[in-house]
Amino acid sequence: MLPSFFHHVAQRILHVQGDRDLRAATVLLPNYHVAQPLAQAFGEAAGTTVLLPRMLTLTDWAQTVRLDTPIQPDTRRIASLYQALRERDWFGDADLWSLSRELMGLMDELTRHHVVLPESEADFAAQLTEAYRARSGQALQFEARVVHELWYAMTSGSELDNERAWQQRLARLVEAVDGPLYVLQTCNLAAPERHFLQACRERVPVEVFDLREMVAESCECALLSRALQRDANSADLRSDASLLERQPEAWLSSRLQLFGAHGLEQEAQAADVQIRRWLLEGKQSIAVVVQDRLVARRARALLERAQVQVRDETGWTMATLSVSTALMRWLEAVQGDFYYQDVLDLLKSPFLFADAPPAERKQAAYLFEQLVRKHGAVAQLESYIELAEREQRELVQPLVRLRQAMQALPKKSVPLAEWLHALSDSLQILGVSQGWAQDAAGQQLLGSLGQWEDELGDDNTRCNFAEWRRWLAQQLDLNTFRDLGVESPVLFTHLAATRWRSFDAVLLLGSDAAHLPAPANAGQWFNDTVRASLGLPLASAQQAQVRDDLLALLALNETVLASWQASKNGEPNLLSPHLEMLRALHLLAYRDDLAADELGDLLAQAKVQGEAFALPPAGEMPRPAVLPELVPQRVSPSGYNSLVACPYQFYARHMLRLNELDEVREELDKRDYGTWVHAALQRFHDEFKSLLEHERDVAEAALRRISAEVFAGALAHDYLAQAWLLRWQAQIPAYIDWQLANERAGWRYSGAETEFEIGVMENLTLRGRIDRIDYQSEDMEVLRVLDYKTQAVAPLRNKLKEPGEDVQLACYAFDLHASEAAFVALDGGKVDAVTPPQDIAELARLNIERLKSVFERMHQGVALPAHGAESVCGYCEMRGLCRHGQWEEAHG
Amino acid sequence: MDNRAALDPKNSVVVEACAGSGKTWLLVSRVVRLLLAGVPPGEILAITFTRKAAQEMQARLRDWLYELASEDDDHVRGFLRHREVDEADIERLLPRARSLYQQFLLAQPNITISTFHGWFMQVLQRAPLNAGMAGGVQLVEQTSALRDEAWKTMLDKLHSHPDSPEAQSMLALFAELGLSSTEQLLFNFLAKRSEWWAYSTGQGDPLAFALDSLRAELGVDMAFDPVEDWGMCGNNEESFFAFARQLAASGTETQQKNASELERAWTDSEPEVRFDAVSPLLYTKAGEPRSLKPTKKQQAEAFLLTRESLFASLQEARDTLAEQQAYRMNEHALRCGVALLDSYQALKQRQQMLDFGDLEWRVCQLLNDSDHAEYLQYKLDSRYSHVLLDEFQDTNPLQWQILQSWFAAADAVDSRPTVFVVGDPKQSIYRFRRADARLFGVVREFLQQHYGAHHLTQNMTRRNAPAVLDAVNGVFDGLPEYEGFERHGAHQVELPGYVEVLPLCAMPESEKEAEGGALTLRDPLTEPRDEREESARELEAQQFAAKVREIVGNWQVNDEGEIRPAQYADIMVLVRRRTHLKIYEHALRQRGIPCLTSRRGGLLETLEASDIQALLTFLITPFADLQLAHALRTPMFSCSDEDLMALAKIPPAPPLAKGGEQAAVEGSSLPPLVKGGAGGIRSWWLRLQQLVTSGEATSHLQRAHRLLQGWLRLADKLPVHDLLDRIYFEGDVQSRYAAAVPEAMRATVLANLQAFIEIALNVDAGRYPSLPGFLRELAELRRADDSESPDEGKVAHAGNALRIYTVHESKGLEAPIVWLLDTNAKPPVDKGYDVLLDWPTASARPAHFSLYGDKASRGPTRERYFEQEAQLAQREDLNLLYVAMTRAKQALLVSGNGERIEGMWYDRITNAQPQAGENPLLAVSAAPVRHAAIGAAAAVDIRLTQPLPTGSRKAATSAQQQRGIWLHALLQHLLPPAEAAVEAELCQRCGIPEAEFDALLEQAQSLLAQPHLQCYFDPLHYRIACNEMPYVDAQGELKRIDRLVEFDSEVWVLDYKLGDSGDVVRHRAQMQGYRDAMRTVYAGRPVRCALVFADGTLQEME
Ligand code: SF4
Repeated sequence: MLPSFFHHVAQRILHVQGDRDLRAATVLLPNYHVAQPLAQAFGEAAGTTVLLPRMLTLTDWAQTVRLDTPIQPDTRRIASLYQALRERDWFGDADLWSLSRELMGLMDELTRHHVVLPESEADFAAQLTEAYRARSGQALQFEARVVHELWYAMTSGSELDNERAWQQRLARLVEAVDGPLYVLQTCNLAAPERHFLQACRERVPVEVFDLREMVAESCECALLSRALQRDANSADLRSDASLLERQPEAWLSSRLQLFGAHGLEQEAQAADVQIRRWLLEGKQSIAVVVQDRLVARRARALLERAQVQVRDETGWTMATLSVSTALMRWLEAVQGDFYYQDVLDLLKSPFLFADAPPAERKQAAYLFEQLVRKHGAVAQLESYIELAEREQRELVQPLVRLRQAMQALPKKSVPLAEWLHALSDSLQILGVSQGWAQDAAGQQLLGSLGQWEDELGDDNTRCNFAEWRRWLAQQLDLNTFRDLGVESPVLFTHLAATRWRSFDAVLLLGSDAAHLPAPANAGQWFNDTVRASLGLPLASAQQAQVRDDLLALLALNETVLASWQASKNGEPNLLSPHLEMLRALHLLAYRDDLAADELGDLLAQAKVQGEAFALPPAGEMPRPAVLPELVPQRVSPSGYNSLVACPYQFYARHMLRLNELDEVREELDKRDYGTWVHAALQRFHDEFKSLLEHERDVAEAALRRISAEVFAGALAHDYLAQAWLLRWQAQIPAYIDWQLANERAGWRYSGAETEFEIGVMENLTLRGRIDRIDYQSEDMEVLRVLDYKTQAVAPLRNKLKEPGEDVQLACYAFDLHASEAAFVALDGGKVDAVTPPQDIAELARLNIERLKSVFERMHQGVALPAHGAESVCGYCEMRGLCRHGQWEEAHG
Repeated sequence: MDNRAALDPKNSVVVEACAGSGKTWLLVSRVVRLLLAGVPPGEILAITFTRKAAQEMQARLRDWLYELASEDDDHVRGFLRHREVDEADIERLLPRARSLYQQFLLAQPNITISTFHGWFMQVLQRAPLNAGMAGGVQLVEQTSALRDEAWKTMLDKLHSHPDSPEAQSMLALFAELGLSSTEQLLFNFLAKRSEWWAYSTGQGDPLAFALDSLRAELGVDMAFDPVEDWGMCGNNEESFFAFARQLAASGTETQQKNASELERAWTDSEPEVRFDAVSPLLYTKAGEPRSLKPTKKQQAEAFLLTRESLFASLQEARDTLAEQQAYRMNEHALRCGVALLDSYQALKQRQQMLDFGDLEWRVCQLLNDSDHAEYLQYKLDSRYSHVLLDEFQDTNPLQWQILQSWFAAADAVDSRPTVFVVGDPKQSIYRFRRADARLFGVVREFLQQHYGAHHLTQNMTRRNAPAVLDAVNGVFDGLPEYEGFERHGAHQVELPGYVEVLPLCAMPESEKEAEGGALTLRDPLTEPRDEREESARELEAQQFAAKVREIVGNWQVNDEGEIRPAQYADIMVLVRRRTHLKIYEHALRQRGIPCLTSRRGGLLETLEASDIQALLTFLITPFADLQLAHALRTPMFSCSDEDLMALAKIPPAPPLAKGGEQAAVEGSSLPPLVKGGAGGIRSWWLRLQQLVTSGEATSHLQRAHRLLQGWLRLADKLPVHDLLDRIYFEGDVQSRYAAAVPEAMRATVLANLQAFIEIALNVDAGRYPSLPGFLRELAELRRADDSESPDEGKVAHAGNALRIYTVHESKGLEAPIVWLLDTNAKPPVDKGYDVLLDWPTASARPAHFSLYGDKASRGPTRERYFEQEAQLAQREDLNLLYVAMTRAKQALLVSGNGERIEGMWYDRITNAQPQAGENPLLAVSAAPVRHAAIGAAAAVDIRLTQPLPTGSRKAATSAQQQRGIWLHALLQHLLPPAEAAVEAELCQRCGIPEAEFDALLEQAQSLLAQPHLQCYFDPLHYRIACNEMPYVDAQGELKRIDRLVEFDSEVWVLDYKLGDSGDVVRHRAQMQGYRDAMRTVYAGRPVRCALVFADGTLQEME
């Protein structure tokens, strides 16, 4: 059913214009959605066919007027402002593009409100000083100067800007107006439009239908009107309420409900469920007025679970689209020396190389990732290409394509249009343009880039790469993509777009105080009193407009739900003040707070169910009995260590044979350090089997020299290698001392990095490598195994405290029947051997026996429990497999 | 305390109010009083310390104002009386009171209730253009990634300039401190950048300034060599040998040995060698003088005298050395610190970013310039006439300086506000955020002096039971190091309360030493390693968990006047640090006690969050086998180990097997891969495909395969959040997790899953989203400081769970029962490698700024700063205890472990409360437990649980149709009454692409030129014509006629058919509709209809 306001309008116009043929009249609409219901109202009112008046928006009407002067597009204005600011160098390092944009906004506002600045800057400054009621200061002078100087610089050209063009169009349109004019209005008009109507009044009859007035006169809307149409100081809630009590028709419960959610998810769920309820009730048009975009996005995903598609009038900022991601990642890659993450990200974008089958690109992405992981290549296209040429010929072609695309971009400062042109070339080479052409958003982006290039054709603002990229980023932030290809009864829209529209149901999403009204954009220019004195609208005008829109929406729609997050991250979050006012009055007058209570109760059960599949049982500690064919035939000491620490970890590593991915390491770390230290010591001892035969200084110098050589490669690349080298150098004297003491005790270096293999049983060998072996000078049969650790003594001692918990030394000792075994702790400027407190031979024997027994049982299918100790689990990469921490632990 | 003075709008007031005394009540009441007095809301500025507190104040204010607007007159009178409105004014103020609600809702500008940072942001937005802050900036909350990047950038720079002073200094630091301590020191410097700026502001060369000042203060002369000086000085030699002789003379054997060692040490003539040789004999490793005491046989006096003189000379040299070392370290570290800071600032500048530190500093600078500060007074839409500051003890010196400048500027423009300050220095626990509780006193004096402020104190609490207060008073009253404490009184004198200090848990002696015996090894298959040695802490945890079980259901708590049995949710557990929380949580879990830990920054480390990350990683890196296996094991797929083994045992296959190629094209497009070189192992994803194809997969694996395949296809197309939602939905994530995880964890796990999707939502709303980008961001967040990475999900309705907080987090909270854990622990020690600061409370800049390393290299001059720090730290530790104890409304339980240490919290509370009294909470007089009726909720429409396909994508218009539409539009614009237009304009107005335009125009013009159509197209032939004429028919439908031509005798309706020609019949009904409608309009005149085809044919419809 049409809201009565439409009938009122229709009747009135028919009454004035006669009842069949309204063609002489013009009705100015707030938007085209209003045409249909208005036409319908004409039909119903006349009860017969009616030739309709011209119904259109003022914007479209004005477009029919021809102008003689060319219009300067905003892209070019921003560029000239940018240039002007750059020349003046007023703002140091500030982002001049965003300043230019702000300034343009200010200029437009001044134009729109017919503000004329005085000719002299001093006069303007004086005007500001007076308006601020301030003493004049430098800050004020400067503000005056910036605005004044740029204003005159920008308005001196011969071309029109959009605001001026609009005013000229309206002025000419007045002359073309030939019949009576009817205007549908919900809020105050801005100056140019006001002037236009004023001028029209002198030529033709003009009648304005102001919804606000109509609401004020309607009894049904008494409550709305009282809550939303008065100023802050006139209130007495109680007497208002008692007046309303006598107007039961203003009762809102059947029209408006409020839902205060606990957090974002619940609000989105409520939206989802309520929309689907409405759909099930057969509602044909459901508007979701989006105030909070995050909730809307979440709600939309939930709706999609139920296969409800949404027509979205609100759209997306281009910067948030994945088509733009491909573009920006490309530029980042170029600017950042092809940092591997950017390249990977780019290769994983479906828009790249879109002129070839996607499998090829995915293959390239996959090969590239393998390559960089393997080599730790972090940046530089050329080095990737080199690597590819050596190891992955297949990857060369795609990488060369990146090189070509990069070469298409200028290396110096050029005008914006030239940048855009070069960009288009490079995107063509990358196959990105082709990819975009397949995608609605991509098409629009392509179109926009082309349009900007055209518009900026004459502009000569030269920019370097960084400046241009910032410009592009700003453009992508400012432009919106709307996908209007969906037809659906569910519509996402803005409040301002609902003027004079009526729907079967409306959901006001995100109606909290922070979003409805949205905070006024204070900006850096002036303040309210100054704006008032200049004739610019105040922040409160913007707020009033929101209030008027809200009033109109509530008056025109019979089913409205407003939702908000009553609590957000555990903090209270207030409802929109306008709705708050409504609720308060309604509560007082009708003892009903409009809360949509039953909706909250419904949510849990109203979820869309996916396909049914048996729910998993409660988690418990896994104890797989391993298939014999998976039991390894070989084990290393570190594998054995893992088996001891946690059988499940061993199972995952050595039976499932799962590994962590290599990481691309961008920085040196302790692992590198350990490797270098091992290498340095090995080389040193190969040269210096016994230090006693040398001067101490000579030996020390040699170790220093060798160390420097070992570290040299890293030093060339990485500054931090210095720190590691210094750390090692601090260790060297202590090491020499320790080695000398060893030798005095009779130990001699025998060899390093010695491989060994122990046949534990028929189908099991224990294999490993020993860091270093010493023998006794007295008796070459007496051996000692050593393992270098770049750790301090205490943690090593801990490792060895419990027998059999660290098997490394025992395994080595077993292999060589060594009489001693020790970790060599190399840290903190000290060197010390740490030996197990137990008898090493016995320990070795027991360890090998245990290994055998465990493997025998594994072959028999004994279960491998995931019972690693807390300290092991803390660093275990298999936690996701064993689900440690997500099963109930045994009591006690 | 007299609320009358505090609430009087004319007064400036400083209120020192104890915990639980209703500070918020007072502050909001004052706001109400201000509004009552006619202050416009925009002139009120209230600042508090957290967003949450600000929001709560706002909510409280709204509720009260609604109360005033809606309740009856008596109620309102009572309300006003309660807020100390003069009896004489009450009647007069009633109407005002009633109107405030609406005023509060709609005022423009409105009241500002905000945090400091929120307010600073507002101020900065209004900054004058010439303050160097123009242009858009973005506030960043997470800075550790930036910091790391700055560090890397700086190192790269040093790498390419190895001879620069910075590079040299960095090497010196590496050599002296090592990499990690250097990093720590420089990062700590960066963290204190505001202080650095404040210290060095206005100095042309900040580094030189800082070093000069430090050198002067330490009194070091770097050219001076104290060792040589000591060694060369004859006096020293004398006292040295004098002491050696004393030692030797009738000394013990050791003494004699020492003496001769000493003498031997002197023999080297190199002063340095000599010094190095002597030092270890006289000083311990820790640098303490050895306690060389005289024996009875020795002459004590002479002995001591020579000893003193020797040590004095040595100590002097050592001190000088230490100072020199400290200076040298500062020289290097400050130089590098400044370089790092530059790099960090440049990085943010490039990206137009601002962090909290910048924000504060910029505002401070802004207001320090009096011209700017004054300008800001004008620039705000209304001047603040009343400023209210909550939790003032948490203010830092810079913030106070900002306020001071603000006040000064307000004075300059003659609009001094009243200032209302409320706080409790006893609750100052944010020194690590640079809060300085001493400011409270300074500000009080300032306000008393300049604003005639009233100083009020409030020691009555509304929160705690007298029993709890007895303990509080017992601990703090008269404590010398807790000066200024006044005994607290209880408002609720009847509230039953109970305090119990549980016995300290200590390890039973017998178990401390491991038993001897034969060497045996643990069997890893049957016996888990028990490394949680029965520690004392373990025992405490057991004691704690057992007691919690006892409390719940048995103790009676007072819930807003209603007595009911205690629940888990009534218990708040407090710890000083999180370090050992795991052990306590473990004990709770073992007993099935639900608990919530708001572990900051823990989300991404939880298993459930890592599950989702593994899955996503697999989706963009399909050769990530471990991640795939991980995903398969999650409750989402709940594949068993047997499933995994089925995959693992598939033998290696040669590269590019048939199935592989196939897969490469269809699904993941993943080539089979060669891994680790030899053998060639197929990726797990291909194995899964093979298993499914061969029909050997279990139903779990089949399902996993099907879902994963779908998601792989979407992974690079859908936005991350939408992809995740798909995964959550199709994978039935929430229900499956709920089924799989233990009851006690369920709520937390589900909340975390939710929190994870919200991260994606936020990231997606950002610029340039992509799945790899998202994962990268997560990795960065995981690496970030605890305080910066995402928090675990908040459980919406906390449910009935016990809550664990750190004392810091508990601020502003309360609970009927509070348990303090681990109270025998020592406060954390200073880890060193940090900034040493002396910022006298009232001054604008620090008086001292330097860096220090470990304890040994501090030197004596700065000792007083360290002492001052230590004192402040101790005071804060007591504050922490105060805050912790005062959280308890009724019961306070205290436990600890280890040997009792004097001065620790446990010791202090025990001294005050040696024995627990009767426990009144155990009284069995409670009302029966009321179970909230969880009745069967109304049955839900079953259709809501099913898909509801709605909406569709519009069919694309074909090129042919599109051309038809354009031609239509062209005709409309070319035919009268439309006015002639130039081509370019036509093209634009009809939205025709340039490439198409000429052909279309030609076509249109040829149609228009058809002679037999002239009678419809040329105005000479007809009376009136309309293009695109809208009408509404009797059914209310809006229609359009392409062209309506009125002749004197008849009316023609023309309809263009410019697409496919032919089939006239199809259009009959449509034309009939036109005809009928026009007949009613042109009653009496015949209405004729015709179709006009692109070729010019005119076909009349009968
Ligand atoms: S997380 Fe712990 S229990 Fe799980 S596999 Fe690793 S070590 Fe074993």
